[in-house]
Amino acid sequence: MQSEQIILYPFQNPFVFIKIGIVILIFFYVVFSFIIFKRVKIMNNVVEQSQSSFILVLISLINIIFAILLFLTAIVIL
Amino acid sequence: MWKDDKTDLEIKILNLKFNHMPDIFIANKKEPDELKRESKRKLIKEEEHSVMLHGKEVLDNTAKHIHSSKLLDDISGKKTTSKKIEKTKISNPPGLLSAFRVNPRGLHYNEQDEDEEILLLLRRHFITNTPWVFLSIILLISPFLIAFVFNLTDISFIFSISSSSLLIYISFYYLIVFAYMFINFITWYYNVSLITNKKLVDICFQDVIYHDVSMTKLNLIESVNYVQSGFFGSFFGFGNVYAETAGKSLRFDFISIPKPERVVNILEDLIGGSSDAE
Repeated sequence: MQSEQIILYPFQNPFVFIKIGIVILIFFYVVFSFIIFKRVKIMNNVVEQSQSSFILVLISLINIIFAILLFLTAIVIL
Repeated sequence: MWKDDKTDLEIKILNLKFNHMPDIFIANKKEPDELKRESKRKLIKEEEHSVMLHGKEVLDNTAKHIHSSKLLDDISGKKTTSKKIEKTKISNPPGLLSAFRVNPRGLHYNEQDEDEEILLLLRRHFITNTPWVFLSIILLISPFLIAFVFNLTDISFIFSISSSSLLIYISFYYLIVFAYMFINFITWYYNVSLITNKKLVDICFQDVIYHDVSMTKLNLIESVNYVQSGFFGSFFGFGNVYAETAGKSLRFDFISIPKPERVVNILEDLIGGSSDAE
Protein backbone atom coordinates (compact mmCIF):
# COMPACT_ATOMS: atom_id res chain seq x y z
CA MET A 1 0.00 0.00 0.00
CA GLN A 2 2.73 2.36 0.98
CA SER A 3 4.72 1.74 -2.18
CA GLU A 4 1.62 2.40 -4.36
CA GLN A 5 1.08 5.73 -2.58
CA ILE A 6 4.63 6.75 -3.26
CA ILE A 7 4.25 5.90 -6.95
CA LEU A 8 0.94 7.71 -7.26
CA TYR A 9 2.07 10.80 -5.36
CA PRO A 10 3.62 12.71 -8.28
CA PHE A 11 0.41 12.41 -10.31
CA GLN A 12 -1.62 13.92 -7.49
CA ASN A 13 0.07 17.20 -8.19
CA PRO A 14 -1.83 18.94 -11.04
CA PHE A 15 1.33 20.71 -12.13
CA VAL A 16 2.85 17.44 -13.27
CA PHE A 17 0.39 17.17 -16.12
CA ILE A 18 1.08 20.76 -17.13
CA LYS A 19 4.79 20.05 -17.10
CA ILE A 20 4.38 16.93 -19.23
CA GLY A 21 2.19 18.91 -21.57
CA ILE A 22 4.83 21.65 -21.86
CA VAL A 23 7.57 19.11 -22.62
CA ILE A 24 5.41 17.56 -25.35
CA LEU A 25 4.69 21.02 -26.79
CA ILE A 26 8.40 21.86 -26.81
CA PHE A 27 9.05 18.57 -28.61
CA PHE A 28 6.49 19.55 -31.25
CA TYR A 29 8.19 22.92 -31.51
CA VAL A 30 11.52 21.18 -32.18
CA VAL A 31 9.90 19.21 -35.01
CA PHE A 32 8.29 22.40 -36.30
CA SER A 33 11.62 24.25 -36.24
CA PHE A 34 13.09 21.48 -38.40
CA ILE A 35 10.21 21.94 -40.85
CA ILE A 36 10.89 25.69 -40.97
CA PHE A 37 14.57 25.06 -41.61
CA LYS A 38 13.77 22.62 -44.41
CA ARG A 39 11.30 25.05 -45.98
CA VAL A 40 13.78 27.91 -45.87
CA LYS A 41 16.33 25.73 -47.66
CA ILE A 42 13.76 24.68 -50.29
CA MET A 43 12.71 28.28 -50.87
CA ASN A 44 16.35 29.30 -51.19
CA ASN A 45 16.66 26.78 -54.01
CA VAL A 46 13.58 28.23 -55.67
CA VAL A 47 14.80 31.81 -55.36
CA GLU A 48 18.38 32.33 -54.31
CA GLN A 49 19.24 35.76 -52.96
CA SER A 50 22.94 35.60 -52.05
CA GLN A 51 23.64 36.98 -48.56
CA SER A 52 20.03 37.43 -47.45
CA SER A 53 19.23 33.74 -47.96
CA PHE A 54 22.25 32.73 -45.92
CA ILE A 55 21.08 34.94 -43.04
CA LEU A 56 17.66 33.29 -43.02
CA VAL A 57 19.16 29.79 -43.05
CA LEU A 58 21.39 30.81 -40.17
CA ILE A 59 18.45 32.19 -38.17
CA SER A 60 16.41 29.02 -38.71
CA LEU A 61 19.41 26.93 -37.66
CA ILE A 62 19.82 28.98 -34.47
CA ASN A 63 16.11 28.46 -33.85
CA ILE A 64 16.57 24.68 -34.03
CA ILE A 65 19.52 24.82 -31.63
CA PHE A 66 17.57 26.90 -29.11
CA ALA A 67 14.55 24.59 -29.41
CA ILE A 68 16.64 21.47 -28.78
CA LEU A 69 18.42 23.11 -25.85
CA LEU A 70 15.09 24.16 -24.36
CA PHE A 71 13.68 20.66 -24.82
CA LEU A 72 16.63 19.07 -23.05
CA THR A 73 16.56 21.68 -20.27
CA ALA A 74 12.81 21.17 -19.84
CA ILE A 75 13.26 17.41 -19.46
CA VAL A 76 15.89 17.97 -16.79
CA ILE A 77 14.23 20.81 -14.84
CA LEU A 78 10.49 20.14 -15.14
CA MET B 1 87.10 58.43 -76.86
CA TRP B 2 83.93 60.48 -76.71
CA LYS B 3 85.30 62.76 -74.05
CA ASP B 4 88.35 63.49 -76.13
CA ASP B 5 86.28 65.04 -78.94
CA LYS B 6 84.27 67.37 -76.67
CA THR B 7 85.30 70.29 -74.50
CA ASP B 8 84.47 70.35 -70.80
CA LEU B 9 81.78 72.98 -71.33
CA GLU B 10 80.10 70.92 -74.03
CA ILE B 11 80.16 67.91 -71.78
CA LYS B 12 78.47 69.93 -68.98
CA ILE B 13 75.78 71.13 -71.37
CA LEU B 14 75.19 67.62 -72.57
CA ASN B 15 74.99 66.41 -68.99
CA LEU B 16 72.43 69.09 -68.18
CA LYS B 17 70.37 68.06 -71.21
CA PHE B 18 70.67 64.45 -70.22
CA ASN B 19 69.39 65.28 -66.72
CA HIS B 20 66.27 66.81 -68.25
CA MET B 21 65.70 63.85 -70.50
CA PRO B 22 63.78 61.68 -68.04
CA ASP B 23 61.16 64.41 -67.59
CA ILE B 24 60.59 64.44 -71.30
CA PHE B 25 60.28 60.67 -71.40
CA ILE B 26 57.86 60.61 -68.47
CA ALA B 27 55.69 63.17 -70.21
CA ASN B 28 55.64 61.05 -73.34
CA LYS B 29 54.74 58.00 -71.33
CA LYS B 30 51.78 59.72 -69.67
CA GLU B 31 50.18 60.89 -72.87
CA PRO B 32 49.02 57.52 -74.24
CA ASP B 33 47.47 56.63 -70.87
CA GLU B 34 45.50 59.84 -70.84
CA LEU B 35 44.40 59.24 -74.39
CA LYS B 36 43.27 55.74 -73.45
CA ARG B 37 41.30 57.07 -70.50
CA GLU B 38 39.66 59.68 -72.67
CA SER B 39 38.73 57.10 -75.28
CA LYS B 40 37.31 54.85 -72.57
CA ARG B 41 35.22 57.72 -71.18
CA LYS B 42 33.92 58.44 -74.67
CA LEU B 43 33.05 54.79 -75.18
CA ILE B 44 31.21 54.68 -71.85
CA LYS B 45 29.23 57.79 -72.74
CA GLU B 46 28.37 56.40 -76.16
CA GLU B 47 27.28 53.10 -74.68
CA GLU B 48 25.14 54.81 -72.04
CA HIS B 49 23.54 56.85 -74.77
CA SER B 50 22.81 53.72 -76.81
CA VAL B 51 21.31 52.03 -73.73
CA MET B 52 18.94 54.97 -73.30
CA LEU B 53 18.03 54.89 -76.98
CA HIS B 54 17.17 51.21 -76.88
CA GLY B 55 14.64 51.71 -74.11
CA LYS B 56 16.57 50.13 -71.29
CA GLU B 57 15.65 52.78 -68.79
CA VAL B 58 15.04 50.04 -66.30
CA LEU B 59 18.73 49.58 -65.88
CA ASP B 60 20.06 51.81 -63.16
CA ASN B 61 23.30 53.73 -63.30
CA THR B 62 25.29 50.88 -61.82
CA ALA B 63 24.04 48.48 -64.42
CA LYS B 64 24.90 50.98 -67.13
CA HIS B 65 28.39 51.26 -65.79
CA ILE B 66 28.76 47.48 -65.72
CA HIS B 67 27.40 47.12 -69.23
CA SER B 68 29.68 49.86 -70.51
CA SER B 69 32.68 48.38 -68.79
CA LYS B 70 31.89 45.00 -70.35
CA LEU B 71 31.87 46.64 -73.77
CA LEU B 72 35.20 48.27 -73.03
CA ASP B 73 36.66 44.92 -72.09
CA ASP B 74 35.35 43.37 -75.25
CA ILE B 75 36.80 46.11 -77.40
CA SER B 76 40.16 46.43 -75.73
CA GLY B 77 40.51 42.72 -75.01
CA LYS B 78 41.64 43.57 -71.51
CA LYS B 79 40.20 42.21 -68.32
CA THR B 80 41.29 45.06 -66.09
CA THR B 81 37.76 46.15 -65.24
CA SER B 82 36.26 42.67 -64.88
CA LYS B 83 37.22 42.54 -61.21
CA LYS B 84 35.53 45.88 -60.65
CA ILE B 85 32.41 44.56 -62.38
CA GLU B 86 32.31 41.48 -60.19
CA LYS B 87 32.71 43.68 -57.12
CA THR B 88 29.88 45.94 -58.28
CA LYS B 89 27.67 42.92 -58.94
CA ILE B 90 28.26 41.54 -55.48
CA SER B 91 27.85 44.90 -53.82
CA ASN B 92 24.38 45.38 -55.32
CA PRO B 93 22.41 42.41 -54.02
CA PRO B 94 18.76 42.79 -53.03
CA GLY B 95 18.63 43.67 -49.36
CA LEU B 96 16.78 41.70 -46.75
CA LEU B 97 14.01 44.31 -46.66
CA SER B 98 13.97 45.27 -50.35
CA ALA B 99 10.51 45.40 -51.84
CA PHE B 100 11.43 47.03 -55.13
CA ARG B 101 14.83 46.51 -56.70
CA VAL B 102 15.73 47.32 -60.28
CA ASN B 103 18.28 45.02 -61.89
CA PRO B 104 19.09 43.07 -58.72
CA ARG B 105 22.44 41.33 -58.58
CA GLY B 106 23.12 38.01 -56.95
CA LEU B 107 19.53 36.91 -57.45
CA HIS B 108 18.58 33.71 -59.26
CA TYR B 109 15.46 31.61 -59.49
CA ASN B 110 15.14 27.90 -60.07
CA GLU B 111 14.32 27.74 -63.79
CA GLN B 112 16.30 30.73 -64.95
CA ASP B 113 17.90 30.46 -68.39
CA GLU B 114 21.57 31.21 -68.85
CA ASP B 115 20.93 34.28 -70.98
CA GLU B 116 18.03 35.44 -68.86
CA GLU B 117 18.50 38.58 -66.81
CA ILE B 118 16.31 39.61 -63.89
CA LEU B 119 15.27 43.21 -64.39
CA LEU B 120 12.97 43.76 -61.46
CA LEU B 121 12.41 42.21 -58.05
CA LEU B 122 9.08 42.90 -56.38
CA ARG B 123 7.57 42.12 -53.01
CA ARG B 124 4.69 43.55 -51.06
CA HIS B 125 5.47 46.95 -49.59
CA PHE B 126 7.10 46.51 -46.18
CA ILE B 127 4.43 48.67 -44.56
CA THR B 128 1.95 45.85 -45.24
CA ASN B 129 3.75 43.91 -42.49
CA THR B 130 2.60 46.42 -39.89
CA PRO B 131 -0.17 44.23 -38.35
CA TRP B 132 2.06 41.30 -37.45
CA VAL B 133 4.96 43.57 -36.47
CA PHE B 134 2.64 45.46 -34.12
CA LEU B 135 1.24 42.24 -32.66
CA SER B 136 4.76 40.86 -32.21
CA ILE B 137 5.81 43.94 -30.26
CA ILE B 138 2.80 43.54 -27.97
CA LEU B 139 3.59 39.84 -27.49
CA LEU B 140 7.22 40.65 -26.75
CA ILE B 141 6.48 43.22 -24.07
CA SER B 142 3.39 41.58 -22.57
CA PRO B 143 5.32 39.37 -20.04
CA PHE B 144 6.99 42.50 -18.70
CA LEU B 145 3.63 44.26 -18.52
CA ILE B 146 2.07 41.30 -16.72
CA ALA B 147 4.94 41.18 -14.25
CA PHE B 148 4.62 44.94 -13.73
CA VAL B 149 0.87 44.65 -13.06
CA PHE B 150 1.41 41.81 -10.58
CA ASN B 151 4.00 43.88 -8.77
CA LEU B 152 1.69 46.89 -8.58
CA THR B 153 -1.35 44.97 -7.40
CA ASP B 154 0.67 42.72 -5.17
CA ILE B 155 -1.12 39.63 -6.41
CA SER B 156 0.92 36.47 -6.13
CA PHE B 157 0.42 33.45 -8.35
CA ILE B 158 -2.23 31.02 -7.17
CA PHE B 159 0.16 28.17 -7.78
CA SER B 160 3.70 28.46 -6.65
CA ILE B 161 6.03 28.16 -9.65
CA SER B 162 9.73 27.63 -9.17
CA SER B 163 12.05 30.11 -10.83
CA SER B 164 13.65 27.42 -13.03
CA SER B 165 10.25 26.28 -14.28
CA LEU B 166 9.26 29.88 -14.91
CA LEU B 167 12.41 30.32 -16.96
CA ILE B 168 11.44 27.35 -19.14
CA TYR B 169 7.89 28.68 -19.63
CA ILE B 170 9.07 32.15 -20.52
CA SER B 171 11.74 30.79 -22.91
CA PHE B 172 9.16 28.63 -24.62
CA TYR B 173 6.80 31.57 -24.88
CA TYR B 174 9.48 33.70 -26.51
CA LEU B 175 10.40 30.89 -28.90
CA ILE B 176 6.78 30.72 -30.04
CA VAL B 177 6.70 34.50 -30.49
CA PHE B 178 9.94 34.29 -32.44
CA ALA B 179 8.51 31.52 -34.65
CA TYR B 180 5.43 33.65 -35.29
CA MET B 181 7.63 36.59 -36.34
CA PHE B 182 9.98 34.46 -38.43
CA ILE B 183 7.18 32.68 -40.29
CA ASN B 184 5.49 35.98 -41.07
CA PHE B 185 8.76 37.42 -42.26
CA ILE B 186 9.68 34.53 -44.55
CA THR B 187 6.13 34.49 -45.90
CA TRP B 188 6.67 38.10 -46.93
CA TYR B 189 10.25 37.52 -48.04
CA TYR B 190 9.62 34.52 -50.30
CA ASN B 191 6.49 35.97 -51.88
CA VAL B 192 8.48 37.34 -54.76
CA SER B 193 7.55 38.55 -58.21
CA LEU B 194 10.27 38.77 -60.82
CA ILE B 195 10.31 40.49 -64.16
CA THR B 196 13.05 39.21 -66.42
CA ASN B 197 13.91 40.06 -70.02
CA LYS B 198 12.02 36.89 -71.02
CA LYS B 199 9.45 36.00 -68.41
CA LEU B 200 7.16 37.11 -65.68
CA VAL B 201 7.63 34.97 -62.57
CA ASP B 202 5.37 34.89 -59.54
CA ILE B 203 6.52 32.89 -56.52
CA CYS B 204 3.85 32.41 -53.92
CA PHE B 205 4.79 31.11 -50.49
CA GLN B 206 2.08 30.49 -47.91
CA ASP B 207 1.76 28.93 -44.48
CA VAL B 208 5.25 27.39 -44.48
CA ILE B 209 4.04 24.16 -46.12
CA TYR B 210 2.81 25.48 -49.46
CA HIS B 211 4.50 27.27 -52.33
CA ASP B 212 3.53 27.85 -55.92
CA VAL B 213 5.66 29.09 -58.79
CA SER B 214 3.94 30.40 -61.90
CA MET B 215 5.56 32.03 -64.89
CA THR B 216 4.72 33.23 -68.34
CA LYS B 217 6.63 34.53 -71.31
CA LEU B 218 6.52 38.26 -71.83
CA ASN B 219 5.20 37.93 -75.38
CA LEU B 220 2.11 36.17 -74.01
CA ILE B 221 1.09 39.14 -71.90
CA GLU B 222 -1.79 40.98 -73.46
CA SER B 223 -2.53 43.80 -71.08
CA VAL B 224 -1.13 45.35 -67.93
CA ASN B 225 -2.96 47.60 -65.54
CA TYR B 226 -2.61 48.83 -61.98
CA VAL B 227 -4.85 49.91 -59.14
CA GLN B 228 -3.69 52.27 -56.42
CA SER B 229 -6.35 52.93 -53.84
CA GLY B 230 -6.93 53.65 -50.17
CA PHE B 231 -5.23 55.96 -47.75
CA PHE B 232 -2.19 53.78 -47.06
CA GLY B 233 -1.77 52.88 -50.72
CA SER B 234 -1.75 56.52 -51.73
CA PHE B 235 0.34 57.68 -48.79
CA PHE B 236 3.03 55.02 -49.02
CA GLY B 237 2.85 54.63 -52.80
CA PHE B 238 1.91 51.01 -53.26
CA GLY B 239 -0.78 49.29 -55.29
CA ASN B 240 -1.76 46.22 -57.25
CA VAL B 241 -0.52 45.40 -60.75
CA TYR B 242 -2.45 42.97 -62.92
CA ALA B 243 -0.98 41.35 -66.01
CA GLU B 244 -3.33 39.33 -68.18
CA THR B 245 -1.98 36.70 -70.50
CA ALA B 246 -3.24 35.33 -73.80
CA GLY B 247 -4.84 31.92 -74.22
CA LYS B 248 -5.74 30.52 -70.88
CA SER B 249 -7.27 33.16 -68.70
CA LEU B 250 -4.28 33.34 -66.39
CA ARG B 251 -3.77 36.59 -64.57
CA PHE B 252 -0.69 37.60 -62.65
CA ASP B 253 -1.48 39.67 -59.60
CA PHE B 254 1.23 41.66 -57.92
CA ILE B 255 -0.45 42.74 -54.73
CA SER B 256 0.56 45.82 -52.71
CA ILE B 257 3.83 46.37 -54.54
CA PRO B 258 5.66 49.70 -54.36
CA LYS B 259 5.67 52.07 -57.35
CA PRO B 260 3.00 50.24 -59.39
CA GLU B 261 3.00 52.89 -62.14
CA ARG B 262 6.71 52.36 -62.69
CA VAL B 263 6.26 48.60 -62.82
CA VAL B 264 3.55 49.01 -65.43
CA ASN B 265 5.80 51.33 -67.45
CA ILE B 266 8.62 48.80 -67.35
CA LEU B 267 6.29 45.99 -68.39
CA GLU B 268 4.92 48.19 -71.17
CA ASP B 269 8.42 48.78 -72.47
CA LEU B 270 9.14 45.09 -72.39
CA ILE B 271 5.94 43.92 -74.07
CA GLY B 272 5.47 47.03 -76.19
CA GLY B 273 1.82 47.58 -75.25
CA SER B 274 -0.29 50.14 -73.46
CA SER B 275 -1.59 50.19 -69.92
CA ASP B 276 -4.82 51.08 -68.19
CA ALA B 277 -4.62 52.88 -64.89
CA GLU B 278 -7.60 52.95 -62.59
